[in-house]
Amino acid sequence: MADLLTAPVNIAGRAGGNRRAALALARVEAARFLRHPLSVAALLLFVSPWVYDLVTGTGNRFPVLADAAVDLQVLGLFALGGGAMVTAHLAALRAHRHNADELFDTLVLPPPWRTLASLLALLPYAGVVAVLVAARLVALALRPGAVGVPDLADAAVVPAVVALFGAVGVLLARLWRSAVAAPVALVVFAVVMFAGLVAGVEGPAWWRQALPIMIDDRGFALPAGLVDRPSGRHLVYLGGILVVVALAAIARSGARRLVVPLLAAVALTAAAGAAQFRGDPALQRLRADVARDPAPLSTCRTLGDVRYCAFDEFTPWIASWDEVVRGVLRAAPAVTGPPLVVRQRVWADGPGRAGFSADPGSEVDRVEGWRRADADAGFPEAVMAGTAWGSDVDAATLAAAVAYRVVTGVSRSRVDLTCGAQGALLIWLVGHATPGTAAGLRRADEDSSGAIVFSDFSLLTTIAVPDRVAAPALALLTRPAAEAEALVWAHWAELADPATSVERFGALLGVPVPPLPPVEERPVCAG
Amino acid sequence: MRGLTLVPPTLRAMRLGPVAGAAAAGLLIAAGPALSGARLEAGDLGDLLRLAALCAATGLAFAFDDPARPTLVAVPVPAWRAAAVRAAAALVAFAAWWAAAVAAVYAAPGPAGLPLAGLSVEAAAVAALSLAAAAVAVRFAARGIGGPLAAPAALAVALAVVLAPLRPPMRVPADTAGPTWAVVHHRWAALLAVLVVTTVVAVTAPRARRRYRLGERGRPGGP
Repeated sequence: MADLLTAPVNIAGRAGGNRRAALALARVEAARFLRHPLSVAALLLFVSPWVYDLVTGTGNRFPVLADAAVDLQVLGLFALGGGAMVTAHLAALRAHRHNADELFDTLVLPPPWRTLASLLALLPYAGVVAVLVAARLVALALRPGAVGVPDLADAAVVPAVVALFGAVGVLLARLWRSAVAAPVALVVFAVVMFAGLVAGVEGPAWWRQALPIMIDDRGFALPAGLVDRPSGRHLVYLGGILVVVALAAIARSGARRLVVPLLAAVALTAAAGAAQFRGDPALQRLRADVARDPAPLSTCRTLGDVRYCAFDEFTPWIASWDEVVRGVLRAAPAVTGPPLVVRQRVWADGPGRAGFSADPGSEVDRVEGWRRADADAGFPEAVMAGTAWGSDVDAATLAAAVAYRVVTGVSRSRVDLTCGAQGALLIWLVGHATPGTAAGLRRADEDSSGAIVFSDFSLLTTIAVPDRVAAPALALLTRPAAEAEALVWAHWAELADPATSVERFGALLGVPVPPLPPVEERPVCAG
Repeated sequence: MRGLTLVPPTLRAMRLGPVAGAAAAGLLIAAGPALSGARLEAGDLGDLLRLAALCAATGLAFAFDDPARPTLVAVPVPAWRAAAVRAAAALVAFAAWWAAAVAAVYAAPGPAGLPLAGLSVEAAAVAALSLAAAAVAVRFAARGIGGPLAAPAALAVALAVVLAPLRPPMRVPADTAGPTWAVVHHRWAALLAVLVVTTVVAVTAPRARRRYRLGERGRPGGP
């Protein structure tokens, strides 16, 4: 009897006994975590967009890998992070939910060690997530149009967030012992993210970096040399929060002498968090320079009689651009103006998605400055291509830019509507160029409210054609392609003349033109 | 009025903690702009109200939980009656909460002309989603406790619905007008109907008769 009573004490007192017991517990908990229905459901939710893309063939064949790593973070945060939080919370509360707390009090492994085991049990799941993210990025990198390399720190954010949210679930189990706590905490966190997004648009910028993931507020890709995302420092910041939360959970379950490590972790977190805001003036200057003249980071290549200049890592897109450009050129009997050049640019120091107040005067100055820079670089009237590519709408936008250049002889620089026969001809060229541009035109037409708009977020330039001007061109596109092409070629010179009206376009090609709307509803056209 | 005698004991047996906790958190979310004085656009206010409804609905996932369920097998009253009382109580509570949340949002400064009919359909669908998840989960739970799994499952389904690649998507900004808003809310109404039917079927469908053999017990683990 005496042996029975003293035996557990001996085991606990033996050097390393607690550690071994905690590791054994962590192994069991990790296995339960991995096969928990919520973990599996979260993984399925995370991969479902990939399966959808695979099945429907809608995946982007031209991914920018650095942005792909960032895009994974949002669903990783809510599906995987949320799933980890709820699962870890339920696991840590299992004894409580089954009214077995008192029984657990008799166990020899002290509560702080059991909490440590719950925290360690998160790591295999985070490992599975890391493998999944890596596999996804490798699969994207194998696509022929893939651009650049992903930032490893951005890729590591998803498993780090999974571990962090799991740790928050463990801590939450020590604070609010109800199964509803984790789901409610998750929704409250979503509100915090939402507030950060709303505040980030016009409020203080620190919100964005303080959140677990740095939401992409630009909306388009940048060449690697211009990126100012503090991904590495943000990952350290995340790791700091993870350590703070883990230590807090262990301390909360009764561990002593954790004040110093906790303070050290808080200091590390604060330092890494603050380091994210260190700006780089040289990079800011480089961005402004490259936005005006992309030559220092660009590579040029000639395909046929068209010259393409792309940012160095974006050259895999040139062949695909060429298909669209060929499509437009095939349909046009003549190219007005100097030899055709397609030059990739990006408004790297522009406002991005965050907010754009259209001041026509400054817009004209900006785009005119770009045109002068193109002329100085030896590419007068170069067609601008942005850093968005892959969708049908992107293809239609490039086709519209090329068509504008082919018809008018100048690269797009006006911010007003394109009207008259030129506008209708532009729409017809876009719809006629390739199946992809035709699909993009249909999409732009569906989204039209008053005018069909082709706009590129990375340039914030827009070509817009009023619906009434586009209508005869859309009607012409329903005719057999060869017949329409022959008609257009026969009247090309008159159709490309800026003085020709859209009524004349309809009369020449035999397509109806909608009647003029009342004066106050008429769009204001150029010239 | 034999059915009504069931009401007081059933209400007493409901676990109020999760429902009340989630509702309180949801109300705090809806009252955020009013408390902080932040001025939000109508679209952002609509999204905030949606998140608040999601939060409060999470509590409904615990509405059918009953630790005493294994002992109720022998009761001569059909199980769906107690479930109906619970569902009705949950829905009444949620409707009252929704009215309070809308009032809290309208107490905020700035513009608050929200399309309340459509948003109410969305909120009702989210509540029905939680109830359906609860009904399904409790049906398969060994010990009459389905909420811990039903609540996160409902959140996951809500996330999947919002992310579903539909055109137009299920979440459209609250300042969207015209046919898009109507199309999306016909869909929400259809989803609501499907979820109500799911709940009713999960509650009323006869259970497969279980043979209790000597030595058989409920699963000791659970989620």
